[in-house]
Amino acid sequence: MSLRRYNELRGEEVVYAVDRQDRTFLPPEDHCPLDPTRPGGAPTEIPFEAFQIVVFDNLFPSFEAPAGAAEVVVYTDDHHGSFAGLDSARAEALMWVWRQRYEELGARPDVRYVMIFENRGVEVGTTLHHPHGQIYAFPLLPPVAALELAADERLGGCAPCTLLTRELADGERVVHANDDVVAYVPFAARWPYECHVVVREHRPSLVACTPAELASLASALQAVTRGFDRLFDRPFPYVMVVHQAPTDGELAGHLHVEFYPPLRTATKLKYLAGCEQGAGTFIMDVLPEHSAAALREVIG
Amino acid sequence: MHPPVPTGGYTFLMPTSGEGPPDAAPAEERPERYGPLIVRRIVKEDGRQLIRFDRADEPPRT
Repeated sequence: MSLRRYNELRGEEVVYAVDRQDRTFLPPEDHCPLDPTRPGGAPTEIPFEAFQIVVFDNLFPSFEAPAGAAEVVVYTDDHHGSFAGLDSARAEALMWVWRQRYEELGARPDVRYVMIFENRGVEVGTTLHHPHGQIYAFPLLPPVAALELAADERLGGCAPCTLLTRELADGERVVHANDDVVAYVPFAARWPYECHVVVREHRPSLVACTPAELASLASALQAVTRGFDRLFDRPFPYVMVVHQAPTDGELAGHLHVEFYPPLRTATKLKYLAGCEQGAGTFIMDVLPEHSAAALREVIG
Repeated sequence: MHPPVPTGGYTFLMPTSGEGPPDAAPAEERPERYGPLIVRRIVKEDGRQLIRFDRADEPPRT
């Protein structure tokens, strides 16, 4: 069971999940716990010879009932796959899986916020190479979600709606758009190739989306991630986070997906160093307009 | 407990370790429908939930 302590100087909760110290760490491919269980092989987390998408309780949870949940979402039984490489039907199915888990976990009285995310690549701390994401059902409202609510207040309405309108009017940072979804590098990006993928209509969560919007979201996310992989001609590490409304009765929120990729060149990482950690101010080496132009070219 | 498994010079921890009754087969709940998906739930030997999602318009992979 994890332990929470309030950090007075930062005004935020810190979670101590000390059992995670011994979690599985970059196992060899033939011992991947997210592979299917093959006849005669060692049992894995998934007791099937093949599967489409599977979600299970994390063996090393940061949160667990009765104070939240932590789940693993396995996108495919192909160990060498990726989110970008899923066929479009599977990517669309994944949007429905996310929707189902948000709805079910969010209905629990001990859950205030559901965060769906993927850490891709050792550069951002993934411990298993098999294509997968995670879900944290928080028993608290985390700081980033609280900041988004504060932005709504500051802007006098839905902040993502306002920012999307600005980005579409400017256009210089838009990297991809379809009927329902727009992807852009934000005006004040904090990562060299940060990208936000935003549903055009005001939808607080996946639950409010039409089936067509879910398909469009999957398509846009794959367009962006495929572009990422083409940018430096290598698997592109990123943190991908689905931002939705809190589930504790707060109606504010606008479904969008944010990517925080750590690469600033093919071989160099953007580190969170003194200024970012000590002052909370990001120093960037590249203008968002320049990274947007580069992304547009590879997304096509 | 999750015993360390030696693998080529370093050790890692197997995610499933056979906790619980050795002959306890996971029980599958009745499938539900969610949008285009068929949802099947099982409880693993150690009590954790596993949910399998298959597109209804594709045969489940078994």
